[in-house]
Amino acid sequence: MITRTPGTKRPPGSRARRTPGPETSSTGSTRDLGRPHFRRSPSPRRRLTLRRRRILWGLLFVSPWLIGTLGLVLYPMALSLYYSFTNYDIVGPSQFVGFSNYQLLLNDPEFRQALGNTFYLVVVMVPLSLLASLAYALLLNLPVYGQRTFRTVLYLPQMVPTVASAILWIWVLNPKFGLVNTVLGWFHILGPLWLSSITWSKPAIVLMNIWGIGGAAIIFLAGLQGISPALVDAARVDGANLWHRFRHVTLPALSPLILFNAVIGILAAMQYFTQAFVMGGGDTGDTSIGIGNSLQFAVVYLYEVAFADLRVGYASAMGWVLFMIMLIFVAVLLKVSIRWVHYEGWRQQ
Amino acid sequence: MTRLNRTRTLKTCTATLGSAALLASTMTVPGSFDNAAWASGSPEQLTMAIAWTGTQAAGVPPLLAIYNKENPGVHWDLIENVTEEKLLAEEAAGDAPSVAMLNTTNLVATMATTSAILPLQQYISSSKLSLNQFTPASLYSNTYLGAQYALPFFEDTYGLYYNKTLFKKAGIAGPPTTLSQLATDAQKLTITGPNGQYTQLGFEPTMPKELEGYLFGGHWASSTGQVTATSPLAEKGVAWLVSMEKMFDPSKVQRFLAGASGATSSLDPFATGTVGMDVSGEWFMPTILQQSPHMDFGAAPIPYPDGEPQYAGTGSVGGNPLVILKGATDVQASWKLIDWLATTGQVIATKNPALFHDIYSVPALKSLVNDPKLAPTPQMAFFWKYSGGKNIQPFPPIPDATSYLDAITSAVQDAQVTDISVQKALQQVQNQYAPLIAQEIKTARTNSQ
Repeated sequence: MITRTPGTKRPPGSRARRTPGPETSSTGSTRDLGRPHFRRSPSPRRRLTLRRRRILWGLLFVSPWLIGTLGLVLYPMALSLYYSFTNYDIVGPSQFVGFSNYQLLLNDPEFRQALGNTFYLVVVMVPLSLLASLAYALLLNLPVYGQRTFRTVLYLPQMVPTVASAILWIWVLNPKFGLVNTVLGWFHILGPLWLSSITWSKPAIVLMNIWGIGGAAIIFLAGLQGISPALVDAARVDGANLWHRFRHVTLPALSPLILFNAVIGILAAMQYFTQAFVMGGGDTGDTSIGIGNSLQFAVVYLYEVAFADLRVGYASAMGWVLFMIMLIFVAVLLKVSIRWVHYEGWRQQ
Repeated sequence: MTRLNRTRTLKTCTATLGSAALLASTMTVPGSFDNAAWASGSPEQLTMAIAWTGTQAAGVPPLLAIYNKENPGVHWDLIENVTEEKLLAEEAAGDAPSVAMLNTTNLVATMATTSAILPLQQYISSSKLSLNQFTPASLYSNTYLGAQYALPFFEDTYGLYYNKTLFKKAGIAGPPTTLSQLATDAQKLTITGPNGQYTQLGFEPTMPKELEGYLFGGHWASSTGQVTATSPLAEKGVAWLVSMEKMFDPSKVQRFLAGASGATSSLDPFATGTVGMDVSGEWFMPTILQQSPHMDFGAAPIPYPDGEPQYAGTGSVGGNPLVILKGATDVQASWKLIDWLATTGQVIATKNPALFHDIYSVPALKSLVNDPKLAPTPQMAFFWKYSGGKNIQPFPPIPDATSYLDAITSAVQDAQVTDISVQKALQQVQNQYAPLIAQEIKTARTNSQ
């Protein structure tokens, strides 16, 4: 039934949709026409063509992404899942072996060591990097003279290519001639052996990573600048001191960004490769990655198994185990985040 | 657009795509292209890949040019800096070069197991190539389970470098011949500075290719490919090397050595004159000559255990295998090239000072290594002769050799700088690699039957 408010006009060219059923006549009496009565509409064929055309245009616009995702992500992922159940060496045909690659992984001490090294990064490097980048951002947000220069300088390491920064840090951490131990020497401290030590090689990697956290710091800085000054002022009027304002205003406002950086950090740590490979001497071949394989992270080991030993099936299984571990980490983090992440305008049901 | 127009457009597109596909197929199918080239009388175009880059790689194009000139029916192009990963990717894509020179012999068995390279036995037999002309260790490093899968080109071998000036200062007459003499000399040559740290080290306690396993007659694998990381003789050699580190303060030794980031670094302690003795390869000499042009150094055999002179002249060899890749465009032509490079090519390169200056390695032919007049320096003459010795052996040609060697290196380092015993460290390697490599060999054998 169509009702019209007096005085309103139908927009030119618009058509009223009529529903089947009782119809109001021009005299106001209701009559049952006995069968549905429709205004003549465009032919179904033309409507379908228009719809199809829209879909085709849509597909055309998303095709670069679609082709990339299907061809370069999903298809290789599906293949690697298949290869994880096979013996495959790139050159020859694959042979189905069931779950034996996964069973072998359970008893592979090098994989366990590599996983242990990787978890170290997740547990130590990710939280420390988050703390440091948050501290960076808080400092960069201070209204001080030369603020732009400080921001540029602190972001600069992000611009250095990964391999170049790894080589730079080999020298910075050189126990005899390196900058770090030289500075420690000024205070009569005998600096550690860093990359030449089983104990200190991973902290060295963490230190280098903290140097390059400009990206995360910029994200936090953007978040800080998005916090309404009214909120801070209100807290100040209520008697909140600096810590209280940080704890109860700034931190909740930044919590979605902390979650974002934590997820990105965990994924990056689980796939840590280039710096470890370069700093651990992987490029020289036939040698352990770091003293006693202390820098052999999971993906570094995966690379060696796949491309030095040609055990691509086994490496694929390793890749899927790592993927599942990453999924679990992120799922747990997202689950826990409900308790501490505050989204503006969103209320927990 | 009318139906007629649409139909026309569709036909035009189909025709264009069809023509493009036809043209592309003509250009990409190797057989058709090669046949066309052959029919037109132009030489067959083939490709060889090498892992070398820079100065060393510069020695290969002139050799290929000579070969191309002598064989007008074929033209070999050279691609440099093709690592094994790239080769395999190209093979998987069906676009591999016909011949390759690998960067390490450790990959020959792995590639043979996976059929990435072709066995050479039938070509060796048909061409009557005498394998006896090659040094035994270099030849063995290019085999897999007794079958020849590669021919040796130039090799690397390892000996004891010693700094004659430091020896004179310490009152040592000559290089040590036994392991106990080496230990004594190492102590004499080690100097501690006022800060308690070493300023000079007598002996750098690392050995390339983990050749410490051979010092007492041990092996890292049997001739049938069984892993023997825990063999008493190999373990004895590792224990000796670990004792050399622990004879001094390991943390101080590590701190002293930490300044160098590899033997090719400009800060290598031997090259800068702060280490008395170091086991390294012939390729180390240019670094020494570059960093310390006036250094008075010598190269000597690696010392043997006291009272066991049968192990004198122990050492290792590794090198650059010439292989024919699966899917080679012309296998016969490929064989002819590697046959020529391994024999005539090596002779030409060794006897031509300009070419040898670039390649600067140890030839794999007995006739060359036993001719000291051909060597550019006395030290190089030593390495050449040393490489042909009966106690020289390569790292075993078994599948997964790269990872296995990596695991041994890691185990030795663990034993040197932590409290883990040599036996336990090597046992872990044995437990991991013995079943793995045995399985790979078994699978390869089954597949080949």
